[in-house]
Amino acid sequence: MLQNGPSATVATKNVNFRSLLSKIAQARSLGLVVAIVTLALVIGTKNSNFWRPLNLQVIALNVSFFGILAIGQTAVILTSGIDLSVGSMVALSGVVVALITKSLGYTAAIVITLGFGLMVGVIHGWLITRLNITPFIVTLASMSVLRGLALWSTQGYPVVGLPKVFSMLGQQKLLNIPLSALVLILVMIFAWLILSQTPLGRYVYAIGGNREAATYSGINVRGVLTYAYVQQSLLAAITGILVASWLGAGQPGAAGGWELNAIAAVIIGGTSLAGGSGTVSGTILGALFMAVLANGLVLLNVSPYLQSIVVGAVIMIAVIVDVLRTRRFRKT
Amino acid sequence: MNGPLLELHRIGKHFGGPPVLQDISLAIQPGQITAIVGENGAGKSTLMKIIAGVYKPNSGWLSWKGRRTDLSSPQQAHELGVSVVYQELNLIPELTVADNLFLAHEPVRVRGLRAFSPLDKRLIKREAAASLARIGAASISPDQTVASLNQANKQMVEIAKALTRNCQLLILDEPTSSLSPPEVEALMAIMTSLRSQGHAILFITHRLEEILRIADRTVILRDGLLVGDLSRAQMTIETMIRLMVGRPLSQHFVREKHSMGPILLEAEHLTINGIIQDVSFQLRAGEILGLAGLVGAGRTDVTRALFGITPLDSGRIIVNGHATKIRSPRDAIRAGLALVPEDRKSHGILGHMAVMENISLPWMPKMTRSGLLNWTILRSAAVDQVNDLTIRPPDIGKPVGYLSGGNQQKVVLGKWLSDPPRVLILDEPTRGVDVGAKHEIYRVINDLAGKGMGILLVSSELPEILGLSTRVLVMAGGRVVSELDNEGLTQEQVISAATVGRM
Repeated sequence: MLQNGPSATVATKNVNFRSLLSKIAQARSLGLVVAIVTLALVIGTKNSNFWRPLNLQVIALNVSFFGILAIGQTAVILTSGIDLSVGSMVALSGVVVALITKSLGYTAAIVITLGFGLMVGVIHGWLITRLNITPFIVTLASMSVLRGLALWSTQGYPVVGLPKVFSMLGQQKLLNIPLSALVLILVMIFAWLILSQTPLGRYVYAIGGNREAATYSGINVRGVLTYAYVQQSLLAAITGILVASWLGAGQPGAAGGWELNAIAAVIIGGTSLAGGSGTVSGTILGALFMAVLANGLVLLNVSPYLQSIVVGAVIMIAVIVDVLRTRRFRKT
Repeated sequence: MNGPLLELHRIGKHFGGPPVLQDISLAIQPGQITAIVGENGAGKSTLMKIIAGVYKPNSGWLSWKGRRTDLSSPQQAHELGVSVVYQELNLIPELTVADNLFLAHEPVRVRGLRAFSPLDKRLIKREAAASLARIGAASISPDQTVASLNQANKQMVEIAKALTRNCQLLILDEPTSSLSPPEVEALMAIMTSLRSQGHAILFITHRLEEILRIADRTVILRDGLLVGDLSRAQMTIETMIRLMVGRPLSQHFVREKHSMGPILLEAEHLTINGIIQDVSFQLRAGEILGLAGLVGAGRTDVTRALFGITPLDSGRIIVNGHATKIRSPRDAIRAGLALVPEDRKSHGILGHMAVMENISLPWMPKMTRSGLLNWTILRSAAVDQVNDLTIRPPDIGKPVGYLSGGNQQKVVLGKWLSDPPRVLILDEPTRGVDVGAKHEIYRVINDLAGKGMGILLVSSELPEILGLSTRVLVMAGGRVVSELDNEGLTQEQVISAATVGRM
């Protein structure tokens, strides 16, 4: 498993686990691993289909889609912001890549779609850092606008008739691992490197922890915040391309509510909504937990209505743990 | 009524550390205006909050009209008849004046079900108008929203609010600090009229001339002790100042004589409208320039302007002979300035981040190898500062939030000293710092000046200013009112410049 950033690195080397904070963070990651394994074992004994390669691939696909989004969301939430637009962004990117593929071929389509994602992120960053509009409002509005663009440009119909080679991309496998899972692994490594091993990443944490002190230390707060929103939109565009290629179509109604799944994975993974603390590895575990849980509920024939209750309860428990944890930190 | 309204019997208070108030006994008479003065940190606010029921004393007791009472909450103090008008007014801007006046004690139509009962709007309005008229503020309409009032009128509303609560003892915390001269006159008229109606007034202020004009009595606090209780006949500015500062220079800081170099920093006519006016000074290499003045005199605003946090309306900053545009802390750091801010918790430290990362924060882009942080460099930079500044515990992995105030401050200092600036601006560098750490910080300041750094030292502790600085600038009301050479300079001279505004 990946390390929990430098504070934990130092703790293991110099402090011998004395730092309370990293102790709790590690206990939390460990708890999640135990929970995921237990969950998998329980589901596996109740329904042996769980361990079949096809089912595991479905899980891997889900983890990939939500995981890529959730990694982007981790950086945003670390700055104590939020990005609600990612679900809509996935759908719109899927539509855009499909439409352009039909005329210009998929290479150009992918490049243009990524550029589009970059642009949306820059606009978010500009509105949030220059006009000082709260991230919640900015991305709530853009959630609606982006979804509207996806629906309007297709009149609500899926964009089909894509060349075979494009949908091949999404169904491509390497050693039985779907392409999107490989993308997830790449994204994960990059995100971890940036967040825990570069000045930019440490500034993300610094701004979320104490924005004023970060400003007083000479950090370019606007630039760092803009980075957070740009990488999030870019990752949403990547997810959109993967989803479209997997479906073999640009679905304007796709990814409804995915922003909430991504946020849930981040929170379950132990990132504080107040900003400043959290890890990429935690988020991945959070996404994995959510995906296994969702899959298990289906395999165990749990009523869809009840599924929603279970997922909600899990999120609530994760938040309660977060609250208790921050409270304990403040007391010390 | 005969006898005192409120008596304090040997009140003592501490917040876990050294005592903030010790053995304070005081009797407050109805129909009198009592002024309370003291230097910053003398214990005035704490005393006021004990009377207002915000804090409980650790020792001693209070009696109200001769009967011992435990003031355990502000509500209880209100019910007895004690009201406080704080410097930061407690009004709700969006509500009307009338609604504010009766907030939380609204007359209702159905008793017993207060929270849900319809309000008696007509009664509220009538009473509001009456109480405003009583203090001669009939020009304020009860229907106006508080947001539409200016500062002086808001204060009137606060006083009227106290009166609607049947207040007998009114505490005013620096009521004149944000008022213009005519508004001060109006306030004094109100105070005089309340006195003649038999109210007792406690009046905290830094402006000694105002005390001479209006107070019947002056109580002087110093380091948590009541050191003077002057009747009207005994009150002179000289006596008050002598009692306020009378602290012997017991903590002895030896200022080392450094040879001074060229001018490093020049401020020319720095102005932020309504906050600082025409502030000019020069700072040389090896010099420690003290910036003294009362709270609110604009000292911190000068540091914030120099560091690019508050934009200037006019004026120039010249660093090393070059006029330099400083629009952000980044610009300031690039120009070779560093700031240790006044509010360490909010502006200085990242409590959840390790000592190492706090120290490296501004320099991280320079501490990389092929784009990634080089932890070896970060670690050794942090270890250097931990050793030089004797940061305890010497554990660079510990989140700064877990360190003591003094060690947190050393981390903030260390952050800048990893790549020494030309000019170091220190705003209250020893606030909330224990004596041991204080002396270590003094030693560091002296050493840095010795190495040719220019240091601007803002402090409310006069012994600190006098002990360390080469020259002292005194600010009052956003202006520099005196520039004094620190040769045989006394605390009295500085205080009287800061309070009277002239030498």
